[in-house]
Amino acid sequence: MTAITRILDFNTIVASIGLIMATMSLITGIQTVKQDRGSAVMMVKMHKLDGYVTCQIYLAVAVLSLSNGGFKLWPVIGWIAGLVLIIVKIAVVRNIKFRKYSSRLGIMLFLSWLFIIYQHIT
Amino acid sequence: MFCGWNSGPEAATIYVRDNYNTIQDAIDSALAGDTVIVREGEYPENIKVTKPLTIKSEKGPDKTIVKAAKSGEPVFYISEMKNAAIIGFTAKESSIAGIYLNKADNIELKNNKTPQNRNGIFLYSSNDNILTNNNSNENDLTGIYLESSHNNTLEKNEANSNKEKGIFLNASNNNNLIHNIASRNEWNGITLWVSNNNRVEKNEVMRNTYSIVLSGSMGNVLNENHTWTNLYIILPIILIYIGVIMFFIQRKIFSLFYSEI
Repeated sequence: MTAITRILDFNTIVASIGLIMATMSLITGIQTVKQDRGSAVMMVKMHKLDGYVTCQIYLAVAVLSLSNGGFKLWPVIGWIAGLVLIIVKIAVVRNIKFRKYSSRLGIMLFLSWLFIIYQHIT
Repeated sequence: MFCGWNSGPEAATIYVRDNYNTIQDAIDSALAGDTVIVREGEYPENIKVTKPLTIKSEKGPDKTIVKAAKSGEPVFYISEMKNAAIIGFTAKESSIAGIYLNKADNIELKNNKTPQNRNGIFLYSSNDNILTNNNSNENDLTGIYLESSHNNTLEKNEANSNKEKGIFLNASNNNNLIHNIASRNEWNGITLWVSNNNRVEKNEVMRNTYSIVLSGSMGNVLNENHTWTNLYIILPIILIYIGVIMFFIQRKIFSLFYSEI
């Protein structure tokens, strides 16, 4: 049990919640793409909620990470790149012409969360 | 005498860049027992400590950085002496070591950072030293390396993300390693190589290839160390699993309000 208690620092907990939400967001996103538009209303609502919460957690983890580790060049570039990816994903989903790329961007966002978790585990 | 000194019958205090431009000049001019206080700034030097002095930074390791002027020499080299202290420096860019103790006893190393060296802190044939709150991360070989060094205390140090080992005891006996963190090193977190009767307690040794390695060592006490080598694989799998469960729960809750499914 001691090893488990050692990993329960605040940054790891927040990043872990982020990965859980990202997983939920990915599944709801895939379900939204799979279902036709008429029956996907509930999934769209779930996806929007999950995405919004995940985005908030992303910002929280970024602020925590930068305030703890200092505003160094590569971490700042990494966090900004992630934020750009989120914005592009939202823009792509809202644009009918490019919507077909949304699932790829969703998977990229999920992979970026895996990377965040890898970096933030004790 | 310089006017900035608190001169008197007891130890004097010398300020670097007030009284002397370089740390080495201050050390050369100081008498045994004096204190050298270094103002914030970058100092390209290889410092040889030859007298029992207390050398400390005024504003801590983040603001007092000593870079090796000659990369082939240690940043701080303390050789064949006793009773000195080095407190609150960043010592980096040496292809030998950030802080090198050679046959030095009763030395206190405290609150130093030694990144980007071959070895962060290197003790060779040095006994009864105390290393506390030092940060020896991101070195090319080892964070803290003890060779033929006995009765030393390493407490609350960090030796993370080194390219070989975090803390390495080679032919070193009766040392105490307590509350140190040695994580994310490419090989071993803590290694005891032909080292006997050491006490390794309450250390955090996470995400190394091997956590604590003992070879040819006897009589060592290992207690309450936290090791979890594969945590970075296990935790994401658990979190994704929780995410899937949470999705089903969320769908159940939402289906109470939407009749589509």
